[in-house]
Amino acid sequence: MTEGDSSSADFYGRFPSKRAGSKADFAKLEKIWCAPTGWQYLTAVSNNYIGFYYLSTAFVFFLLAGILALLMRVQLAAPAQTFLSPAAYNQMFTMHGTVMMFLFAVPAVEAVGVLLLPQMLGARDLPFPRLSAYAFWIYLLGGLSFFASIFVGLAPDGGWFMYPPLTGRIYSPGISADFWLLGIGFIEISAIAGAIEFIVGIMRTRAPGMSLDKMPILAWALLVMSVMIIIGFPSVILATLLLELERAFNWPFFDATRGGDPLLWQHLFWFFGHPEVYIIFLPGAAMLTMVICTVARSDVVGYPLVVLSMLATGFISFGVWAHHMFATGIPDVSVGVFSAASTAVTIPAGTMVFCWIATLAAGKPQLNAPGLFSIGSVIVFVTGGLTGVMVAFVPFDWQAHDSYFIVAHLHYVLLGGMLFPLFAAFYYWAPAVSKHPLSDRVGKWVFWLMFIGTHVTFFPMHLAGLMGMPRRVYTYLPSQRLETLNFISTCGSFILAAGVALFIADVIRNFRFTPGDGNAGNVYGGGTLEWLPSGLYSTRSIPLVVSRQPLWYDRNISRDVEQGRYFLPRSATGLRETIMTSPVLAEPQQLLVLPGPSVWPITAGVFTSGFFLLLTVQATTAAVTSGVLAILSIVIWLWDTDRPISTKSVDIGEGLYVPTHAFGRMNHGIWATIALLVVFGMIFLMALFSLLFLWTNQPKFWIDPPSFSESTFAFVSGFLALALSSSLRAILRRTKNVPLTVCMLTIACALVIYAQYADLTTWREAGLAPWASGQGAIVYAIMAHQASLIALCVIVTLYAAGRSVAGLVTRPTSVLLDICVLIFAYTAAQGLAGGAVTRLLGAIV
Amino acid sequence: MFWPVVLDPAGPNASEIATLSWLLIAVVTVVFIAVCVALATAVFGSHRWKRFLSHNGTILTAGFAAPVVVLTALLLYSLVITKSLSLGSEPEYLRVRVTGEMWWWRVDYLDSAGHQTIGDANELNIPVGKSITLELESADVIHSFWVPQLSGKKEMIPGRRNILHFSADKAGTYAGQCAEFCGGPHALMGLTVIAHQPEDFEAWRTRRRADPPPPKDDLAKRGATLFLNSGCAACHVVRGTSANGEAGPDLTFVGARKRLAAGILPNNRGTLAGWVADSQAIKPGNRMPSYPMISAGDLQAIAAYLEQLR
Amino acid sequence: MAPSNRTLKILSFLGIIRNTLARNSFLKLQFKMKGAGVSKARLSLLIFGLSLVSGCVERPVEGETHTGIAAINDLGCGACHVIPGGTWPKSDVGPGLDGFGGRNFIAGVLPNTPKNLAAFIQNAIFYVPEGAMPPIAMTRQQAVDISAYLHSLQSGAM
Repeated sequence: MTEGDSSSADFYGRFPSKRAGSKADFAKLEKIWCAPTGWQYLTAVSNNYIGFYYLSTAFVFFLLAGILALLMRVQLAAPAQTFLSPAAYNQMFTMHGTVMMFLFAVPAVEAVGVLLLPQMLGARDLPFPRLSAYAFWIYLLGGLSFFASIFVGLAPDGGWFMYPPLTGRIYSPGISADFWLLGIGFIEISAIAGAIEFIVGIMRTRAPGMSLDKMPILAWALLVMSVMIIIGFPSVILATLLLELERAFNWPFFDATRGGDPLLWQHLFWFFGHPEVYIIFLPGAAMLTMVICTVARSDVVGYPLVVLSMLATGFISFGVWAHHMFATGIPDVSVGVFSAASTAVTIPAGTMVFCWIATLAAGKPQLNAPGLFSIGSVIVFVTGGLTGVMVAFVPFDWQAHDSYFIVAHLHYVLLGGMLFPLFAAFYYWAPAVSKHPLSDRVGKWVFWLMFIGTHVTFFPMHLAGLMGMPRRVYTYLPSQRLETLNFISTCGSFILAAGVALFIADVIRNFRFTPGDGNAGNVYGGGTLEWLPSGLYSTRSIPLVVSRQPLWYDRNISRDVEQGRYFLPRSATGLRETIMTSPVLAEPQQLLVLPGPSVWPITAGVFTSGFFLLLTVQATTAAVTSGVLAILSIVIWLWDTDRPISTKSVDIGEGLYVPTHAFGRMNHGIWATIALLVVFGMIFLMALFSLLFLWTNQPKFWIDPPSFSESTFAFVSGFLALALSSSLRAILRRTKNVPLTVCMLTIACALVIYAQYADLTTWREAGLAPWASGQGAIVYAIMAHQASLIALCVIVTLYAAGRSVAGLVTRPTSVLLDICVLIFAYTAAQGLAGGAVTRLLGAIV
Repeated sequence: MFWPVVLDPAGPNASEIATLSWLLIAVVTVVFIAVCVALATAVFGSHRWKRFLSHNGTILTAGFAAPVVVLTALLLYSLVITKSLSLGSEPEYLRVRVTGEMWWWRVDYLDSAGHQTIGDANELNIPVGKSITLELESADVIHSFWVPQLSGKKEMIPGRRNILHFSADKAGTYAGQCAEFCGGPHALMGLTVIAHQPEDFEAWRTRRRADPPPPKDDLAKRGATLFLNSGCAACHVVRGTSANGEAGPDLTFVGARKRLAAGILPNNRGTLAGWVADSQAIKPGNRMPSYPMISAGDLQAIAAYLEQLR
Repeated sequence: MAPSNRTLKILSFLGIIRNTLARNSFLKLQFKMKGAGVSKARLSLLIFGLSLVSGCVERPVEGETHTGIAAINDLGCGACHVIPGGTWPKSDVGPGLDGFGGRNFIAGVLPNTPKNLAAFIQNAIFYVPEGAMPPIAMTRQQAVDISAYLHSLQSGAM
């Protein structure tokens, strides 16, 4: 069925069905989605489990980083204390920032998505459950071992944004900086895996009828967040790779004495780093919006405005990164542009705040725990937002930058924009995953302690900053007169901690995670789909959505869903499955069979984190072995997916038949591949930006690139590879001959490899070495990026060959070959572009 | 004193920023109160007010139009200031190169050709009311020059030279500190700026161009010999002697400085002795080793010598 | 009334808070030493109570102990000595001065009287030529106050 097809609308009238679903079907559904036991908890892939694991882990990291903060506050309670040594303090603030940003905030919002999104959208699970499991396991293992570095005094100590040259190998010898660089490697992978999952999940697995304008705000926020991750994270991936290359192999990207530039790191880091703040904030704001709707008993007022604000925020946030660099002496023009953009980005936030106020005003707000937390969020967030406006103005920023004023500002924004909303969400959604709700009475105490603690801790920091206290100081001297303010802040931090401790007590007393055994249900009277009665299979039947608050709109919907009067009240194929719908109007298009529990995601996770950690401790052989094993595990896990299904078309209710496969553009695998290629493309673009940046700033280190005529072989084979893989797309549409296609893929593979080899040879003949200059470093880095894509090409070619030998590539239902072609075409194109741009810069002086 | 130094300017740059700061503080306070009132009304207010607040028009006016107007006005004002602050108004009177080092400041007073005329460290002497130009550089990692009462901060980045124009309009001593995390004892990388009346400054400059007087008493004389022979001279310069080490701060007039060890210690013979004997206890991780084996007599002599370098 | 060890212990803990508040014009706090040494704080009952305790021990002996500790911090005596109540630095190039009031001799040579001590800290090398402590420029009043403060230190007060 295609988008806008009127026939589906005719079908919608038939729901809820007159006939209830059968008991036998229900029993079968329960059996297919049965709860794991014993060791199966490790192989579980269902979002109910992975989401819960994910969120609990993120919360543990929150507590750990919070304890570090308390230790730092004790050190700063009085001047010139020696409670912590400078070395320990420097490690602690670095870890506090890194853990809070990378191991708590981003994973926590992703975890909330994994846990709630399928239920909220009326799907049975996310489209790639094993990918979520993998993302979780690398995050858990990598995160824990990264954190453990502080117990042995090897934690990184360069601040969470790790500015070189301080973090280069001269000023940070030893492996602590590598812990940071490789250590967050898996967080990057896990974030991107989650983002791809969300994009496909949100665009394609919504309940029938849930058109974009009826989507819960959280889904919108997670969608925007995922796109931002895909565009923003590649920049930090590149930055960390470059710095690691500089540290390990002496490639001078950031060494000004050899044609690098320390400012390049700042550009790359903040191009990710500022959107990162909104990556955290948008889901927080969305949780807040949903909680406010329920406590006010009103649908969100200005829904389109909230959505537009989120889109605008996401968009503008990519144009503000240099406001972290106002004091670096960047040109006046850039300063003006970034100042204006930074001012502009506050406007959508302002609109959102007034939408929240309007929603509260439209209903009768209840001051229960979620209600208090959401109102508190708004106040804390507005405070942080307003100081954010102040620092957007350049002259003020020249004073406030790198001072405690900024520390105050960023904590207000993150606490108000993410932490308080998250606690509102904990209280609000706990009944959806726990047998008992959390105590509302205790929740109010938690709120007041945290709210008061936040202000007592962070408000004095504004003043401390204006009194000249720089951030990241392990102590201050009595002559600076900072002791009163710092003493108050320290007291506040313990009030805040007391609130968190009380929350933990409440969780221990009341929270019982029993997803197979029912939950406390709709305690606060929410109107969205996650409040339908549900089990591990999500809802018994998937409802038809006609409003943004379906449970408020139709009082009978819970009963009808539970009686199986809606879509798919059974398993049509005997496997885990969900309905794929069209991107805009959410009309049923396909039945997607979902993979079940598997040991391979966790195995792959263990080996992936093993790879990064062993690299960090320089056990190269073991690391490579671990990396190969990780790839093998992923191949094995993929091997039993994408199988031919005997039933070509199934009835999802009331005689509405949908196919069990999707071809070409509509296939979810193709969507995910495109998202992944966008990531590679962004890494490539940022590498080109780095090339351009070094060329502009360090021209005297530039040598003449090899001419195009010298590089003829590279370009010719590159063009041939591109032509071949592009024509394969057309060929694939006509032929079912799999071996022929695989042969042509192999030829394309050989061509890209040769192109790369020829490219490398000409650069070497031109006399450029990677360690010689910034130019050498970045040109070789671009070639290394191309080489990693070629490695991917080789792996998918082998995989395709293997599967075709095993007879698993059944055209046209299998899209494996289409995916291969996409990857090949992209690789060939990137190789050509890289070769051309590296040669053009320098040729035109 | 508990008054924020940012709001207690002693020079035109800082004054401009202080004015902007007050304006911003006023605006955000008003907005904050307005939002809180709106929030309280939304929760507790009368039906009529609540209906007003839940109107789409109200959202657009208060949440979009009003911020656009206010922010645009503030932005234009701030950009004008930005421009004037980064240009520097009057003709340059004094040019000084300040180089950030781990964890102290090298201060070189330059002549019109850009050559060093006076070398100093951790203390910047300037005349009141004259336009000062700083060339900010770094010898190792990124540092940031910040004297809140005189000017906003500017970073010192390896491979770059940043220019900062400012002046002081009141004589006095102003504290500064490195603002960009530079590892180890970053917290103890202070700086003192002393603004003199112009004629006092000229007298100071004349004094400083000459070499320091040779030691007079025996103890100081012995200190001078020890300074040259037991390794101090390998890292420190004392003009007029053979001490010409470039790694550490210039000590030619160390006895005349207000503070020791990059703005963190009072300067007297006692603290000089304490610093030489165990600088690591005072500023852990700094580049000067402690000398635990130094004899009492030698320590007395070196402290005496350093104190009279003024 | 001689300050007891316990009071001094509390003093050293509260010294930071008290000193801070005493300097603190923003909070408009006023500490006035009168007769038995009762100080008034307007901030809160708690701080009022705390400063009462700390005020009790700051009774003038010979010099003023509280200006003595201020002088110690201003001159940077901590660059060589760990001194109870001293804020910064805390180096141990020279002997720690905890319990100095209970010692019999200064530098093992001079009888430990307030007068001797005041003279010694101004020009130690004169009394102990082989010692490492250099003469330090300070006013007579500073020396007397420092001496008074050091004499008020009983052992275990840290």
